Amino acid sequence: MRASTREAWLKSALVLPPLAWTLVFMFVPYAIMFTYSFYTRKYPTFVPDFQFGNYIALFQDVQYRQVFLRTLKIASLVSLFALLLSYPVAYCLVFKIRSLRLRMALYMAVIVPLWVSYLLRAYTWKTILGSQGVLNSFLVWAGILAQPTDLLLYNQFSMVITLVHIFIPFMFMPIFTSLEKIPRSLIEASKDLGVGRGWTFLKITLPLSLPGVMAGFTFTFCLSFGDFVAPFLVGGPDGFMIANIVQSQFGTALNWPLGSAISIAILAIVLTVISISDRFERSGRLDLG
Amino acid sequence: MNAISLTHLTKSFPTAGRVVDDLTLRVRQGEFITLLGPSGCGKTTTLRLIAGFEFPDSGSVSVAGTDVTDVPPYRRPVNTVFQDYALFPHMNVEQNVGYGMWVARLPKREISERVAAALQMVGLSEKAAARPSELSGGQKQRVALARAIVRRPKVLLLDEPLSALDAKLREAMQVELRHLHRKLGITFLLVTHDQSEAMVMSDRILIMEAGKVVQDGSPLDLYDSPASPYVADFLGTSNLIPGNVHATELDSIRVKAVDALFRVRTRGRSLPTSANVTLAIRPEKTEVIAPESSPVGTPAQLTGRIIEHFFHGGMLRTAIDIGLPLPFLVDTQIKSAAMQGQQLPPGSPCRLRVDEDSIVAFAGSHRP
Repeated sequence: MRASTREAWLKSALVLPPLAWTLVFMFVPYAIMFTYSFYTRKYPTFVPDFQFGNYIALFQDVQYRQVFLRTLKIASLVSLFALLLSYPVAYCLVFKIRSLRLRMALYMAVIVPLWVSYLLRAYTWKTILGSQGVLNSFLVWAGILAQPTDLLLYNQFSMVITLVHIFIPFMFMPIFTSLEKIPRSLIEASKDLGVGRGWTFLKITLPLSLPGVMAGFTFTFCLSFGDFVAPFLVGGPDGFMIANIVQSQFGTALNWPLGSAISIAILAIVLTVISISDRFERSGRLDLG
Repeated sequence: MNAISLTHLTKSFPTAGRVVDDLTLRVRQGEFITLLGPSGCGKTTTLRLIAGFEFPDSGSVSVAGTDVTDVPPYRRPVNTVFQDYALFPHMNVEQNVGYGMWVARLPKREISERVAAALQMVGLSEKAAARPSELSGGQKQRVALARAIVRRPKVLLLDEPLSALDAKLREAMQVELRHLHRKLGITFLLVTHDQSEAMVMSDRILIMEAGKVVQDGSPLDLYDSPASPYVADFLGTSNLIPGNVHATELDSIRVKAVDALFRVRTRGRSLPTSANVTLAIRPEKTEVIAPESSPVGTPAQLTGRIIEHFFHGGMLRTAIDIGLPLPFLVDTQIKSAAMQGQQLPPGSPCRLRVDEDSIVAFAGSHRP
């Protein structure tokens, strides 16, 4: 075998398996789902068809629209709170902590929860916020509440808390990286030019860390938009999200065509968010070297 | 009034130890002064203490007669040209230069006038709208310079500003910086490890070693009368050879070194008979001559064997084995085409004629 053919063969041997994997387990299912979204439901089965009834139902039915908007709201709130919590922490780690070892230790402290099972983290909040939970027991013990409240769990509040906790590393990591990439000399140059701390942050540090904020926001938003476990565990009837609807369409409701149509809609939203943020990031990508 | 006045300045870092050690320094208004030394000698930390990026453990810093020891960098009348230029990547050239004045809310017209003037001064007016990423290294350097002078600081601090440029550009910038210094009348403080850069530009050089100033003087003073073998070897090149005082005279001594006897000026140093000394001999103050061209046994001449020639363009450097661990270096100016190729071939024996007036003797034996 000639060296060049051998090399080409090796290259394709490297590329083909993952390519085949994504093709068989991602694109093919998506294609099937896409086809299903045009089917008609004939209880208890579905018949092949090409009609837009499922999509029309999606927009006309108030219930679906409500859940869509709620999901948007919760995903936005989760991203917002994750941002407000992550940014100051990342900023402190990068700029205030001089010891590299301490910085890495604290960084790991934020990241380590990722290694704990997702389900476990969601359950933890159930035990913290429940009416017999840690928080209630404490509030009653401290005399702040006369009796346990059930206001803490099974609502949008508990969902946002849980999802923020679960997805915060995805916000924190890109922000930390983007802050760490900013050369210290830029901050010093700003101060050297007579600019105080506040304006230096607003004019130099913040704009240069925006790519990280964008990336973190995209991750957190997309992940919480499609989440269905947290609503299931801590959401209650008020906290149902769009992914739960999908789940029920494929499950108890036995309406695969509608479930497929909703899934395609979710996919479209998430892809839009990703491409917008990608464009932002590209245009804002700067030469920090 | 001194432009910069450092008094008993000391700064330590946890890992590096005492980087600046009891440094006292006065810089006159309008002077071009250079802190010169190898990396780790404390020169950059000294600059950062003046800029306000570091605060001293003890001692004081004052700029233009005002004590600024505890003043943050943004309230000091100094500006810095950073080694990596530190241009803001998300702003164009004009915004970079006008940044400080813009945040200080100066009138728009004044800002644009001063930015235009500063850019013109560094010859970069046509690049006002360019992003830093679109500029060459030399152009970035000029923007950094314009940004630092636009606020009319009392002192301009330059932290190895030319180290990232190629040799040709570096030489051109050295000349430009000197002209700019003359035109602005601002005090310049340059930090560099490049001795030729320091000599070309400065009015005064301070050579630093381990956080202390080991010699302070004009480039010529330092070159001709180095205070220590360290300075002699750091500023330019010196052949350091061990010797022994053979006899003392009124203001000179006779030193026996290797196989030669030199008459060396003492320059006020006390070097008694039979003391061990180190002689610093400049390569360009020495001449290679053929062994037969001079009667054998004349003092002030070393004998050796040519190892190698290094062609430097206008100058030829010859390494000669005189029986010491390190070769003796001799620089010869190539003044005419006829001189080219007239050198003794490697391996041939030779004699070295040294200009005795230029030899500097230091007490003790020095290990390079």
